[in-house]
Amino acid sequence: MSLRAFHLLFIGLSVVLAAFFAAWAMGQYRLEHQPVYALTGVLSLGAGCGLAVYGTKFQRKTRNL
Amino acid sequence: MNIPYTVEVRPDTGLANGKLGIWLFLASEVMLFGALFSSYIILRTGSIHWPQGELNVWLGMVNTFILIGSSVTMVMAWASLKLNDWGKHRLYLILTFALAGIFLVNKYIEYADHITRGEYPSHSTFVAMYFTLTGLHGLHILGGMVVMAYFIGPGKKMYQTNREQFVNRIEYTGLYWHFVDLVWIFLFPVLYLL
Repeated sequence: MSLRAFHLLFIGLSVVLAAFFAAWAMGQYRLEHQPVYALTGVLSLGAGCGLAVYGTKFQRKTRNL
Repeated sequence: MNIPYTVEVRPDTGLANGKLGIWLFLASEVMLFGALFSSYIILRTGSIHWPQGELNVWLGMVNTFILIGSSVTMVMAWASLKLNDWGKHRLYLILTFALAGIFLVNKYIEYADHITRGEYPSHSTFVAMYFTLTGLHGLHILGGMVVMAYFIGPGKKMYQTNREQFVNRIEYTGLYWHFVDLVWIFLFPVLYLL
């Protein structure tokens, strides 16, 4: 497996982690009602989306490497 | 002495020797961390009470972003070399090194906090597992930093003498670095969130 393929796998797993972290933060918000958890959940979801976009762009741009 | 298959692909394995070597090494690392993760699962499922919320999630989250960022800069360092952009390669490799350093500083802050509270590895099974898993991971980060420092410093000369082999070496460093980052992607939720 090349570094390119491993990087794509890593980004994919990071997206899964970001989604999991967002779900965890929302769960904590429901329990403790602290706005910091809601904000973390939203930011984590945004980071996950950002990583997914980056992964797609990276895959397209580095096809010939 | 000329060592064969440092750049060209071996006909029997379909890989250059370095790539086969790094994957064999990473396979042994999977076994090492796999054994520790299995121990963690067995200890956790077998205990009546398991502490939760003991770790600093925010610091762990920051470290997760740092390592994800460092994997991006590492792959960019390799891609820049493939595109013959030496300046960008240097910049990205130094950035990766710096991010690894920040990760270790955060880890030091976290460890210092535990130690001031008297939470040594002997404190509980959870703390012992925490120090073992994150400590071993931290040592791997340090190892990666040593390799990167070599390529930032004395190892950079190879780019002039054997460009293709140098590019391959950076790719192998990147594979190792991604593995270390991947271990953290599993460590963070297991230790900090669940």
